[in-house]
Amino acid sequence: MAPSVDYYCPCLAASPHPPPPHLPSSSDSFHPLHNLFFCEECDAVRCNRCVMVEVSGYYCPNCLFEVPSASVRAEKNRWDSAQVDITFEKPTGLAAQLQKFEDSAPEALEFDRLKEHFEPFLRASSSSSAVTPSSSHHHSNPITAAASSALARDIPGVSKYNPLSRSRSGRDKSSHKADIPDYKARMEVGAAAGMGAGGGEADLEFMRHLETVAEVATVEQRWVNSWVSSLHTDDLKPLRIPLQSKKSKRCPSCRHILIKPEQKAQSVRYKIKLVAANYLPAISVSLPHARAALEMMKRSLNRSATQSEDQSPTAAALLAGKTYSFHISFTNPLYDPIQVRLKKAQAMPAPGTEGAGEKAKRPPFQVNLPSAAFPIAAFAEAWEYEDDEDMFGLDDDDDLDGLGRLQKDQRSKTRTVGVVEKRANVTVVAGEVILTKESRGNVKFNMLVSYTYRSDDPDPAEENAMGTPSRHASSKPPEMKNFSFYTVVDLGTIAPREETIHDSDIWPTLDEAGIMATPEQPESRPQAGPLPSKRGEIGFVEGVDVSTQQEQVGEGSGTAETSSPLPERHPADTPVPTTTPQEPNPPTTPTPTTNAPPADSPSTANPPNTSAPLNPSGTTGRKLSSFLGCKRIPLFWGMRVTTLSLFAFQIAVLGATIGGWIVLI
Amino acid sequence: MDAPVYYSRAEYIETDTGNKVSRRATIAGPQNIILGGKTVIASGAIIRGDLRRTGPGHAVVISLGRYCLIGEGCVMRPPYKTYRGNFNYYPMKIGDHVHVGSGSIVEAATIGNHVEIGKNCIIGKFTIIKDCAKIADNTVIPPNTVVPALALFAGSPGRFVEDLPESTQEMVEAHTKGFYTRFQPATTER
Repeated sequence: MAPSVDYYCPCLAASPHPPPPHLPSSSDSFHPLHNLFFCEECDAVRCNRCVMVEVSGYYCPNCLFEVPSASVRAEKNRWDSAQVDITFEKPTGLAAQLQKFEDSAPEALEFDRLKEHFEPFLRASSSSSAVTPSSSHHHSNPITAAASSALARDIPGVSKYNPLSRSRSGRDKSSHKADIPDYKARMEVGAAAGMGAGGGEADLEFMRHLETVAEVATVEQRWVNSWVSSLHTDDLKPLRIPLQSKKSKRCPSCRHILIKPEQKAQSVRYKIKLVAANYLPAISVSLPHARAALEMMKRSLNRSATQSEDQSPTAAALLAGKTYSFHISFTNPLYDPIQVRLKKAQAMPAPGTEGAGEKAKRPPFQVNLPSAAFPIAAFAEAWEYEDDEDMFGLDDDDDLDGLGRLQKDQRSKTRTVGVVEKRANVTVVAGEVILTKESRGNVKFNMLVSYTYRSDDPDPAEENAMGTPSRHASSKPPEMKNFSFYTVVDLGTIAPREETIHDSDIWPTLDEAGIMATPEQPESRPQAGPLPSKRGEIGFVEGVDVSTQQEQVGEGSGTAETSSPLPERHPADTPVPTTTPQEPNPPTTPTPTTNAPPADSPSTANPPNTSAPLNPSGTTGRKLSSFLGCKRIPLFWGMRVTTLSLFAFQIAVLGATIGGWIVLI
Repeated sequence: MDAPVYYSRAEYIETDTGNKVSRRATIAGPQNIILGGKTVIASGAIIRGDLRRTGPGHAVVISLGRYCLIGEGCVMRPPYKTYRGNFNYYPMKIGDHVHVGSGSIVEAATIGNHVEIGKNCIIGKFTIIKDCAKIADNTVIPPNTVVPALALFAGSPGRFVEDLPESTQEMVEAHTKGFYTRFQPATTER
């Protein structure tokens, strides 16, 4: 897992200290920077869990039509009725077509009749209870009281469901209850079952005569409705797509708006956008040794950058017992320079639950951070920086690409803890983590970051009290404000030492499917590519069969005794100087020639007109030719007679041509 | 993330507007393709500008915005439909700052700005992807889908997962610009 830095949001907790990072539950309070907001009034970080959310608009996710909030609210209390036997005339506007069927469904008609039946009584009761709407003191908020009385005015019968009115109507109308005549339903209760509304015989018959399971609607398809619906798949009706909402967010304590989107539904711009990324420095952490391993692998294997990134998790792991340095880069978003100070946050001691034994292994690693404050330059547009062109320090003349720069860094970085690099509005500092031998798990630690910045708004009192210019000039210096926040730095998982890996991984493991998993390569060394299998590849040993070579490697990686179990030869090692292609073919593999012994590269590139080959290929020539099974051609000085004779022939032709010219002219 | 992404100088053609097109990419009908500038087309990509709708005059089949990246092995095809007996291709319009992951097949009609499409995705025909959306890796988006703005879609069939944070636009813009800046020719031959 790549090293990462997450920020702590206190979420209105009482104590500003973050929880210890090794607890699984504490990951809830830490968020990546881009998910956080910042309230200017409270000077505090807010996260998605503690903000107050309001809906600012609705839209259909399918057609992106923006639905006015008024019609959404009006439609909310709609009676949802089942639909039966619907055919659609056209594929669009399903909702409108459904509407007609909804209105004529049996349940809807039943409900209408019920309403008509009870309406006279409800009107009588609501009119008497609506006489004194102001005496509804039970509503704590005057707004909701006004809303409920307005609602009662508009929709007769709603006041019946108010807790206040119910008691009142119960008291007043008990005498009238006897006056309500019995209601006669439109259809028999049993007939409803025939429509598939309930269980019973009809369902049983259906199940008995099932032909395929697909005829029965699944639970997920049926439970969208809150009433029992038919089991038949054929009776399922298309559902309306629920609307999605655009939200605006407020600070929970001061109710200042943090996020206010624009009115247009699909616009990604915001009227107000107070995100933490505009106030807090962006922090990212990287492990230089991981990057170096990655570069080495890329160079030796020449895979594309994206591929090798995915396949090199083991090369960069943290090993127990070693010390690693890590780089933290801070990017300043403000238009003023800031001074940053880091501090390791003390882990909160758990209240008395640890025994002495646990305490012994409690600190599995130790982290050294730079203690001095370091400045970060202000943010400015890209063209204002002088060294815009070579932001990465790449000069094409000298060899200062990735490897070179790393080497330079290692040479110049005499102290391991401190500022490493300052570029534009980014400062990189180095810290160091020391892992004990028994450490396990993730390397995570809390870090307190505090920074001071110059406040933009001058004190209004100062402005008004501006007397003489000299007095104003010598007045208080620009106010330096201080802000601090906690972060958690996760450097990755600690891999146990090599011997323990081998003991567990020497035998291929069988996973649940019974498929043999290949044993894990130990993570100590960068992985080499496939073995060289033919002449011309670097590292190829002639006279030895390819299979035996691989077998040797297999044994080598399987044994636990050898301390370096990887294949014996790494392409970066200086190989046995036995490989020289005899013919002037370009190298058959794209392996980098910089890592090859220097003797090989010129010989491969040059045509055969050069002088004698540089390697003792007299003996190898025999092996090569025998291995490749070509004809036994006698050799002089390592060149085949054929080549030599061709060369001699060409020289002769050239000489004859020149001689002929001389004779003629 | 800070590491430069190298490419072989011989492999990529750089135009004067800063587009970097790999020679190993298959560009069919280049006269119908518009690249916005500072766009990278990786090796193995296939862009079908030859599938144009019938009709006179010059047609733009595929238009890409600025700071785009078409990953390795991607296939970009304009969508087609038979409407009232006529078969036609429809133009594909892609916005700025769009990264398409490797191995994806894109037949969408419209892709907005700041969109990030993952690896091995399949975007069905006539899909409309609005701004700042994100399609996760290995997603299959059925045809005629609409992906609203700031939405994260994943799965097969692609379904709405969650809303992305409000600062997605800046993040994606920084990512695409950073990628273009880091995409540099290798100085040494490997």
